[in-house]
Amino acid sequence: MKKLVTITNEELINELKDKDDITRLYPLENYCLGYDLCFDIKKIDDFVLINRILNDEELDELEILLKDSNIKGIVFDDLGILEIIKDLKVTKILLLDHLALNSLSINYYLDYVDSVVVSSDLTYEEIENITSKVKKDIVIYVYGLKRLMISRRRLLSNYIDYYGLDKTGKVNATVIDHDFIIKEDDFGTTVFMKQYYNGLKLLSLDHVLYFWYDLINVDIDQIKKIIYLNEDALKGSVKFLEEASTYKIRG
Amino acid sequence: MIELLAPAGDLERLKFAIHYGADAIYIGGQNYSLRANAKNFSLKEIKEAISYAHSFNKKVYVAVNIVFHEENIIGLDDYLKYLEEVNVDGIIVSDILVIKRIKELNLKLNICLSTQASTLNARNVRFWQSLGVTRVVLAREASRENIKRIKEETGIEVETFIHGAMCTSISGKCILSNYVTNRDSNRGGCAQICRWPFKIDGKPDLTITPKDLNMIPFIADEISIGVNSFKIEGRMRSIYYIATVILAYRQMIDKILKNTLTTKEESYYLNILNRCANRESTPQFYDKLPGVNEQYFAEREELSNQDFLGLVLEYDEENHLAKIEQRNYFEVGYEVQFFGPNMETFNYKINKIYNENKELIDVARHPKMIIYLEINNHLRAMDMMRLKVFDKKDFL
Repeated sequence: MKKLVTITNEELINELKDKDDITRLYPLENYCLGYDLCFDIKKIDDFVLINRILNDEELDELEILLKDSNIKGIVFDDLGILEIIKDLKVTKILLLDHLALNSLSINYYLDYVDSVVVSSDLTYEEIENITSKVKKDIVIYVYGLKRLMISRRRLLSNYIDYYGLDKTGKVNATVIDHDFIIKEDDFGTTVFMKQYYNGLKLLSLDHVLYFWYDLINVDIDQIKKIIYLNEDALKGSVKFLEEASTYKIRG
Repeated sequence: MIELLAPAGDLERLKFAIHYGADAIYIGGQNYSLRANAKNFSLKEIKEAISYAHSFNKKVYVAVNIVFHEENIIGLDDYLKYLEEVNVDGIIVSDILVIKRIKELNLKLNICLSTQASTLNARNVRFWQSLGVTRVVLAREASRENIKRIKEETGIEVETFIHGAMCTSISGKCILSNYVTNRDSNRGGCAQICRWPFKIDGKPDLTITPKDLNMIPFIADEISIGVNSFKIEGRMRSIYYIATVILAYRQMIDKILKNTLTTKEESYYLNILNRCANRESTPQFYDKLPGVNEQYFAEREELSNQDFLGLVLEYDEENHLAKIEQRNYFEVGYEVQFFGPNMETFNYKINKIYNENKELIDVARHPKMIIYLEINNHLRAMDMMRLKVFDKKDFL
């Protein structure tokens, strides 16, 4: 079983360095949204994460950065990146938050990349069904702080400015019994589900290139319990795995 | 040609959009579009809509822009074949699946990439072009520089939103609705959680709701950098909203193309548009990131109005009598305005109201009741009567 672990904590770098079954995923400085810790490309010797939608200027700069890098793989959201990595001999993984929801679409995308991250918005049965139909192994998100919404807007800064509040880049918020973490950085605002996503049940599935652990705001001991022991150390939520979303409301 | 692209939730609204000056209309079928719970168009109505629009030399685009789950794929091929058969002018898609199926089925359908695909750069556009996409609705976050470079490097037809409600999120990148209500935002069920107050301990509620978009100050500039189509948001909106918004932008675009639109006129149109939506609107992203002034906060008061008073059904030239279907309460003494696509908006004070039997009454209080007004100005069916709130002469 191969694991892809986002480096969200400095201590994790050494902890995971010599683990053969673990691939380290580094959020790239200036190209990621929602992470407290991001890395200079020069410090990245494994996989790099780029989870933002980019404009051409940013892609121009990214092309230069990647050309001289030592990355072994790339997980990315913006399809524009395909063009600048086409000649790079690295593992290419497409991360289409909320948009990779059926096996046909995933198979079409697999013509252009080595793997696709299947959306964690799906139920267990839907994900299982997809793994049985894909033509290449895919990546499955198994544990992490799940992004529910990203915005290019500075939603917290505007709120703070409007009410004259103390500056903060992160707040906890609630909408009718649902808890969120709202975080803003230079590239916009992310709304996370406060309870961690627990997809450990998915570890039994086949046709998987990587199981992805994305543990933001978690201390090293708990991270170890989750990634080594597959323990639900943060009492995560299985809501998305168990409750299908509704396509139409029937009157 | 610059295209003014209007929304329509049903056939009636499509007809109003065309009548009030739209060059093209986008609609959704019963399945596969991002307004899953709207009335939408049956297959027969899609055919009728296209036939009607084509008779006026207007175009119809059909949104097939949900993000498909496995269960939604059944029936897609037949639907796409049907859309080709009825000569739709293009389809709006976000899922690669739809594009690939069109090619595999060898269908001659123009493909427009939905804003749900969050396209912000030329390289991304080239990817989609290589699959057969001929038009792209750019991400709403696109700045002037982004649009200019995409246009210059790809030559693709570019469509941008110029008016209406905005997502707080990058389009397609939000499942707040799924989480809170189980309603799937990327399959047309968005419950608009971003419009709800977020409670924060010991602090004011956080609202992340954006104001609506209007691009009035930048339309001329957008034309200059090569934008081909200006899109109005709002397939669930009323005929009054569609008529008002389309007419305002039709007149503004025509004046811009003749270089005759004044700042004062812009201000007049902006007042009309904001009043019609009961919401404030501002440009967003084109010249700068949205700030405090582009976001609503908790104290916002949404004052609904009943400005739409009546719909003109007929006009009797001989007796100067307008037959009107009531849409909101009005009475003798009201100052109103009539507006329509083929006339100058004019003010009118209601002195007499006749009921359906041509008897004098003081008040029109029943929805859809038929009344008659004596009016010297020539009117046409589909013209509208609204409460007089703004007078254009005050802006000249």
